[in-house]
Amino acid sequence: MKRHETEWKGFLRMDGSKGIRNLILVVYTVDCAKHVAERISEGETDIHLIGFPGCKDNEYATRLLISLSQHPNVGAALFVGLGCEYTQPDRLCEIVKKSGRSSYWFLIQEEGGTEKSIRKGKEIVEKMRNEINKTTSKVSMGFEDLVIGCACGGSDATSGLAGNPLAGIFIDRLVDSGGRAVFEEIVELVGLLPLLEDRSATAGAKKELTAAYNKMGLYCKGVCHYSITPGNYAGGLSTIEEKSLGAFAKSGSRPIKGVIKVSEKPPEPGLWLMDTVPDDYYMQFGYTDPNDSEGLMNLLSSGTQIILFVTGRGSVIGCPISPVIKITGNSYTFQKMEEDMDINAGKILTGESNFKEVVDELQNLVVRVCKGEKTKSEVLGHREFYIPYKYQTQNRRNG
Amino acid sequence: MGRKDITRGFLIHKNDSVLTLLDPGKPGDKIRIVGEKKNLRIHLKEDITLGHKVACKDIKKGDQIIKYGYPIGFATCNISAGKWVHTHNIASNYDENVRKK
Repeated sequence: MKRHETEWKGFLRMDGSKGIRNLILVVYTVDCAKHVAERISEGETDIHLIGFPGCKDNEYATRLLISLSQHPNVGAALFVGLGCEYTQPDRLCEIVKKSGRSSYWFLIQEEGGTEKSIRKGKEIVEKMRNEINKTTSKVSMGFEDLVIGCACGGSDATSGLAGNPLAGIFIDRLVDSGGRAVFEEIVELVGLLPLLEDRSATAGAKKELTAAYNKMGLYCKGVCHYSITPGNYAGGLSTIEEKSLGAFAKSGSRPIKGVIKVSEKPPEPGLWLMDTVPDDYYMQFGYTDPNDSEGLMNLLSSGTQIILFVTGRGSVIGCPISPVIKITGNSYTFQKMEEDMDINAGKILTGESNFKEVVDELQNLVVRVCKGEKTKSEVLGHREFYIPYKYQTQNRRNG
Repeated sequence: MGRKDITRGFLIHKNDSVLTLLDPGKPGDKIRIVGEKKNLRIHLKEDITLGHKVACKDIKKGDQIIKYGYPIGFATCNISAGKWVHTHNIASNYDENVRKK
């Protein structure tokens, strides 16, 4: 692909980040404020909703709310609280304002109830929409400006043969073009420590990968759970290490620069592994990727403008903030669920096509999505999100 | 049974002891190898569905099962070439929950 074909105009944020969407985020800070926040955002394509259900605050969840509100695809954020929860919308608003984004907050108790709050919220988002449409500068973007996340869910045997290897080849191309890639699901790297060591970019990276791997091993033993499901078994996967080898293929073949944790951005170009596993804590809590939506939230928190999601059995989910491109390695799944699937890598297994052709197709789609084309899950309105309680510290302070 | 049908089996790595079926197969089906090139003559010994694994050589109880050129678990009984390889005859080297079963 020629250089000019992989360039497009994006949205420049005051903090220097570049987005491919110009969105308004409505954030509720406790479940009690959820209905009002939903009503403010409902039916609007450019207003996305996230929130944290708990009343008692949680450092990990707060970090997630902040990183998502400052995501490159987000231009403005409205924080809606009930009024008595620990997570304070005014504090979050202040932080997000410092990133140069338009940001507002209010409390439902102060506004005087549901209807008044919804009215107030709708007025604010209208004001924010005008602000960001008027003030956001356009900027030239290319692959070197992208952070692309990669996850898989609903895996079957085709995921390791076609879907994930296809994503991996694209990730190689992105990394070779100076972009950043983040892959996750460290609980699906069981048994693969030697492969991780081989792929380490530096001695430092090897140390980080080994530490994250060992923590994951203790965690899986501790909770007596490995990330393999009845659907995976039905799809032909027999053990967690078999599933892991297929899942690891989505990372491609380039050296891994190191490990980032949830809400950390990849500090330099290249390929990074995200550790989503809870850290050891006296009061054990938090579960790692209890569902695919949490996995997508984690990737979003590292600033991914686009997420690749590989599925064999067929998943329908999307997420707020970033377009999700769904790839299946299973032609039967593609035919059955075509309205949800963006790319059919199953063509490679049936012999109708090959990796080179389908990765070109994927690359073209990525560019078109960066230029504004909607993915299947965007069109269908999939914006699932999931922000749980978890205990996890950070490695890097790169905001 | 009349003419033997052909089922495609994907070989990921030349050292693998299992193939992944790209078509559903039934007993007697001849396997055509795709993916890595290797001369193997295998006929299915039982019904095996798409995406599931078939042993491409005789595997002894306790042997590591190799896929992607890498161990994915061990055999919990002898498995002859052409037999279905899944949770009924292999177990994870890591997941204790499955090993208990």
